[in-house]
Amino acid sequence: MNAKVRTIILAVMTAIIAGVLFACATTASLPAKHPVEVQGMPLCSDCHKDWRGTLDHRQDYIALHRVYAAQQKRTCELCHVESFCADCHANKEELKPSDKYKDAPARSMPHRGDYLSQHRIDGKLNPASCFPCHGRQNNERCKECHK
Amino acid sequence: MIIWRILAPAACLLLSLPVIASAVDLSGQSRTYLQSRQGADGTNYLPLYEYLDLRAANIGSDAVSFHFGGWGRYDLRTEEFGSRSTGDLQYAYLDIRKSQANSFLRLGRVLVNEGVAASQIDGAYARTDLKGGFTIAAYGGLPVETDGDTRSGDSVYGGRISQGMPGVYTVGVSYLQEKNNSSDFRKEEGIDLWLRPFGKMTVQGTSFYNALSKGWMQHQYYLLFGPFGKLRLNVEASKVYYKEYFAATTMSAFTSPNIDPQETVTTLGGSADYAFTPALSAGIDYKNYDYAQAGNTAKYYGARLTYATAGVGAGLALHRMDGPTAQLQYDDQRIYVTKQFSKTDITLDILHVAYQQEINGISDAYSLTAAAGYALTPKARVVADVEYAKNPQFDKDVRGMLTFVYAFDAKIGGAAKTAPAATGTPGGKKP
Repeated sequence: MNAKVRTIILAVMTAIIAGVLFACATTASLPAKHPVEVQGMPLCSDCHKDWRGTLDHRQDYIALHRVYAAQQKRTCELCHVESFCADCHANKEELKPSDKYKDAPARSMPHRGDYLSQHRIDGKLNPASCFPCHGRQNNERCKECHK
Repeated sequence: MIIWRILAPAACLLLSLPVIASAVDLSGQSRTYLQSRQGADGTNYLPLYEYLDLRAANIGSDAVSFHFGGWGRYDLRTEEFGSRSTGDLQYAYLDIRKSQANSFLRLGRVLVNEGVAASQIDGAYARTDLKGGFTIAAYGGLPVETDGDTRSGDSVYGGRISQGMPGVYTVGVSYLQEKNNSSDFRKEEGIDLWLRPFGKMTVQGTSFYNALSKGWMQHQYYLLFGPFGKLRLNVEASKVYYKEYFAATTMSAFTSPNIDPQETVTTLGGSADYAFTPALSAGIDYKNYDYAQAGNTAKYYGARLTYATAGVGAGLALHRMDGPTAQLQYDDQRIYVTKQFSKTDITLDILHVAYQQEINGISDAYSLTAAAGYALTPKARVVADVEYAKNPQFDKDVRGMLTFVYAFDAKIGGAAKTAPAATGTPGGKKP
């Protein structure tokens, strides 16, 4: 049996199993919106005394949010619309996120001030931190120098 | 003009809404920025940006909604990068949801976040919960690229399966395959983990594997402890393998000789935060970068103090980057304060970076920003900001920006009536 046929059989079996499991899943979906509007950087633990308290948006949340987004973006979507993510996670962007929100200094926005000089240092020491946003997209301006 | 090509889908949707349904809930936000700045060559730029976020819900059914986000820029003074205008379609998709099992299907330009995937695609993205704590997601289409090559022969698809127990653990495995010009460009596999074995400890992180070069790309894990009274502790550990991690780049900065592809960097760090009061907290953080190939280390460490109440916010942060050579060392300090007076708010933000070794003959970079905002109505807000900077790129750089933000929320079709403003309404989402 060649690889293509095996792949098709595997895909069909996976789809059938998933279909059966889906038909049996009767849990209610999360609401489209969080029932109470929250302001600023919310501390979920103020109301939620269970595991949801781990979603507290403290200063370190900027480093942790990628794991939550990778696993359960639907939870993020209770409070955030898509443009909130797109402000930073853009395919093509000219305005720095920190320039768009100079009236919100508490928000952890990347590249405040003269990052053109500083990126030469951070880029040498930790290029992996640049890569998710500028490795394959949002790099038209980077290519003006990094040809 | 490119701006209209981007805004056309939103315009078409607006015009067709009365035909589609009797009462569509339309909401969103318009942000207009007028920026004045000078380039390094002395050219003055005056770009006008329009960012539009639009959501149309209840399109025929409360399960169907449409989401649009995009921006356009027109420079009122001169050309920039060869053109006075440009823009981008950030997302535009039809969302169909079920009331059970968190099922959804999205069609259009979507941002996919599923384990190893955090990419924009033009295609389809579906997800649903299954029985037994399982969740499955799949996506496929064309990758969204800004690079010059054509999209012919390009494709991307993948998925994620996870299993978990709410509040105890979630473990997922994911896969992504991308072709560029019909050739394999990315084949990546991922493991993601969220585990809370005790009430005071959470483990979370990801591991990504490059199936093309057959090697690990990255492990990144966090341990969160607390709160123990007013104290919280975080530990972070990561390892990045440059050859596999940067394999699918389209930019020379991530290739040799700019980086050593054989390098492996192990990062260990942590932070401690103490909340003196609900408004006032202090923290220290430390991160050590260990370079296996170069045989040296770098350290980034510092402290911060933050104060936040409903009307006042302030912060102070002091950090040092201690790289292996003087060229890779700097100290940075930041202080900011913001205060709200009724409908007006003002912000002052000061940054200072002291480079150990001068760049372009300058060792100190300053940036001073002042911003003032005014709420014209509960839906409309105007902000003016000015930034003065002195740094290795500019002897004196003054740039300013005017921002106008307008949130809208209305019903279209059926009985025409304007709903209350999004601001302050229960369940309103953050734009």
